[in-house]
Amino acid sequence: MIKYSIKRILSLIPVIFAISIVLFSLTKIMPGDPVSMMIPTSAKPEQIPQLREEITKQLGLDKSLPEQYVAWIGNVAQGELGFSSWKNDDVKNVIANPLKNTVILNFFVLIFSLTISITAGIRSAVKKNSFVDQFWQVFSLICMSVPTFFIGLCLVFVFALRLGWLPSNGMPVDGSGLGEWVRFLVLPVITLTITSLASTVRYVRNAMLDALSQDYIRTARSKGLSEKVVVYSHAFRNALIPIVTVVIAQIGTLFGGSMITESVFVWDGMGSTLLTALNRRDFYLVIAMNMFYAVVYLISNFIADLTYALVDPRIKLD
Amino acid sequence: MKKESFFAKLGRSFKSLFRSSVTGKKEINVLEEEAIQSPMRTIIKNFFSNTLAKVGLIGFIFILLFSFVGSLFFPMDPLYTEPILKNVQPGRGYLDYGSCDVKAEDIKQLASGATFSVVLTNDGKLCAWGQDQDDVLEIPSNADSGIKEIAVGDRHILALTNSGSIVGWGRANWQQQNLPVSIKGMMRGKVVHVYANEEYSAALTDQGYLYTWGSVTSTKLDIIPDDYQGHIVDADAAAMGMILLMDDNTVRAIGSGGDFKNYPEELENGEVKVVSVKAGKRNAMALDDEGNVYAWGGTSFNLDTVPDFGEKIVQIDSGKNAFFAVGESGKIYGWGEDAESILDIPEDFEAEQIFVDFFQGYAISKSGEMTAWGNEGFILGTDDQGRDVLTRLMHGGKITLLVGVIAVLISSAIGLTVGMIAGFKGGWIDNLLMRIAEIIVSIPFMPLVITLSYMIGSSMDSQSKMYLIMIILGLLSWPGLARLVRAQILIEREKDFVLAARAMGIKEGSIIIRHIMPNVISMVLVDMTLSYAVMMLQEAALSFLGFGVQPPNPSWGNMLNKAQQATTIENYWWQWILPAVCVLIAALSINLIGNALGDAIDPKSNEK
Repeated sequence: MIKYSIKRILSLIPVIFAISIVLFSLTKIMPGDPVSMMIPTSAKPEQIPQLREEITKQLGLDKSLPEQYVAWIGNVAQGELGFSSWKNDDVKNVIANPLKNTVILNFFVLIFSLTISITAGIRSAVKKNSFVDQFWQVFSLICMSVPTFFIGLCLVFVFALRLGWLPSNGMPVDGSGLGEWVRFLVLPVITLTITSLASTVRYVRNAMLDALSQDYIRTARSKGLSEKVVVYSHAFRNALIPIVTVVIAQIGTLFGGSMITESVFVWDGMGSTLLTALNRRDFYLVIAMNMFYAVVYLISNFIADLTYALVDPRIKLD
Repeated sequence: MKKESFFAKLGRSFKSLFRSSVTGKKEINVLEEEAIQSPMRTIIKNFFSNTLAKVGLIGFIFILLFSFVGSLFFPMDPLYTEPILKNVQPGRGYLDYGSCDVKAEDIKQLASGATFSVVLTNDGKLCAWGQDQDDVLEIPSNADSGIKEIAVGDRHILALTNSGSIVGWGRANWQQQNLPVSIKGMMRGKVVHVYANEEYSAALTDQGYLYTWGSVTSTKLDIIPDDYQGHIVDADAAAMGMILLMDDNTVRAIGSGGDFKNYPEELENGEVKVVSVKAGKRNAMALDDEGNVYAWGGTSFNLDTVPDFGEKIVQIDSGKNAFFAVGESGKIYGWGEDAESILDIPEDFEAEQIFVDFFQGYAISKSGEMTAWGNEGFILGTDDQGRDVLTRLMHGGKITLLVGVIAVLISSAIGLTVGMIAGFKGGWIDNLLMRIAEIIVSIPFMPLVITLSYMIGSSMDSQSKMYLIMIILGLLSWPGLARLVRAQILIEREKDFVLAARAMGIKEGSIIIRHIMPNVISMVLVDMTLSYAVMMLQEAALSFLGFGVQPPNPSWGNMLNKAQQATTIENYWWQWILPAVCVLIAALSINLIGNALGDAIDPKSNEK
């Protein structure tokens, strides 16, 4: 297991490097000049050339591209993600708050979508073609065909604008209590949960159906075990592998945030920060965030592989 | 041939009676039924026996017809906007004068606003029809009867009563419907005429004094030279200015419409006797007592080029950017911008009088008949720039459907090629290709697409940005299919029939194309269909965020872009629900087709 882990981590390194080179060169073809955006408007015309030089040096833009890359990747390795020209602060500090907000939002989404999709998926599989099953089939078909933002807009229209029960968008002000957070969280959480349920319920159902059609289930039934034991102890445990894959994929989005939902609800998370960073031509912030996404994805994939071995002792990692 | 017994015959015909009427199937014998069908035929048969597949197919054909055929019948100029028609609710009947039950000979005056018309009868009563906005169709009780004259702006109405007071209602953002007390107090003489246009109103007194109020400062309509005052006998209000008819039958102009004041010299120096003046948005025209028409105000829409009528003109009137004239013979002439079908003048109609405002025209014949032409309304309303939502939905559908198709073709071509190479070649090529796929997959799709679309396309025009979106979506979506194809090929190449083919000495290339590919292609087809729906949703999301197809070209996604504002969500439902429903119908039909196709190709998956 340890040997496997080391091997996996080592094989991740070239991938991460490749991603970082791709991202870094991409940001270099981005139009716009970050230096002129950082010059304060109050600066006098005669100061500007000097200021330009200073800022160029401060951002390290006076060096050649490979040098810039090496300097940047060296800093990244030490945890220095670069300097955000938009917020005039370290990328680390700029991302901290949106990351917190995104994790809060997606934490609830993860809990709701997992509970609902596992219970609904198991029920649909056990009572195949029943009303419950058909309901979830239709539900996931429609939710897979509807744009995410439309769900959000409809919820805003009904619950915020027509009924006035909840705020239509925005963030709770600093230091507000739990109740306030819940009021602002309800609509985005519902939107994201519905979107993720569309695929996860189907996934769990199919995994369960596969497990239920195995021979050991017939054996378990013929032994006279109660249906509960058959479903939860025999079938569900064997359906865990695909389910773990879904859970891990969800964890990836826990940090990534959804650009669309965050933009509809003006939620100050990772997605909307990336949108603003792009509009502000904040190179380092853009690469740092994309880099972060990629690393989270790779790590969660790695964790998924380790988890497979945990849930299924037959899988040997080597 | 064996002779059939009578009962066997009877039984057979009885059976066939049922078969043909109930199932429509031809009776086939056992051997025929056992005969092997080609896989393609089985797939098609399975597909069409699925009700959901048929629903999906019908839905998709409907969407295709709506976008591609519909847009042929409703051409669109992407740059056309019409501010006075913005955010109009869905509705028709703008020309529905029949709803008022007024006889043509009773009509004293008929005037139209942006989306409605109002008629004044000879006995001083009002009646209005069209699309109600700002409660403009709710005629107040003090304007019920005894009305002498009416004036209609884009969304407000003024009525002059017999007693000389002005009653106004409708849009009030500049208080244009309400004669200000300050003006009322200093007015010289009794009001004899009222005028109105976009967000302002004016009143003319019997002593020849003109007063304006509403949104008049930006258009400089509040500045009326002193030497004009006291000599004005009539006027016409346009969006940017007013044309005045003086007591010596000459013409003057006020306001900010630049070329408004460049009227022909003979109109100012009294060489000709002007009897009537009319004004469009920036252009104006005049009619003299000999039946000649003069037009000026710049060359836009050729409004200043008066057609050769070949007869004396008895009446003139103007729409927003279109001019109309009635000849002695009763023929109606029109020229200018053909917006909202305002130039679709009825032919062979002997008009005695016409009433044209904005986009609605009405004519009364000598024999008392009445007709109307112009804007009948917007079935699905208009957007925030005054463009017809239905037309934009059709043209937007064209773009959304096309972007999806091209993106899917690109991604499938790459996915299939990469998957095949990786699957067949194996070794380091396989390893390298799969690493590249992993890199693309490991960065979340939406952020990466937006980053790329922004970085590469921020200085592109609308058209090339559209192609860029297709390419980016295509270039980033292939890894899924490539992995699928690779895995499938790895499974297929180990199967017995491949071994058999090899044992028979068939060449490797032939095995790949004739034996392995057919088993892979069906799966690719299903994947293509399903990812088409995904691509459309991605395009919608991208354009919704403003990183996809750029205005003025419509797409279902960018039509939703304005829905980020709460006012749009709350007040203008037709602007965001309709495009979203179009995306939903299209994606749902495609998903239904894709699922059914998957079931048809692999009937075992149906059992799940």
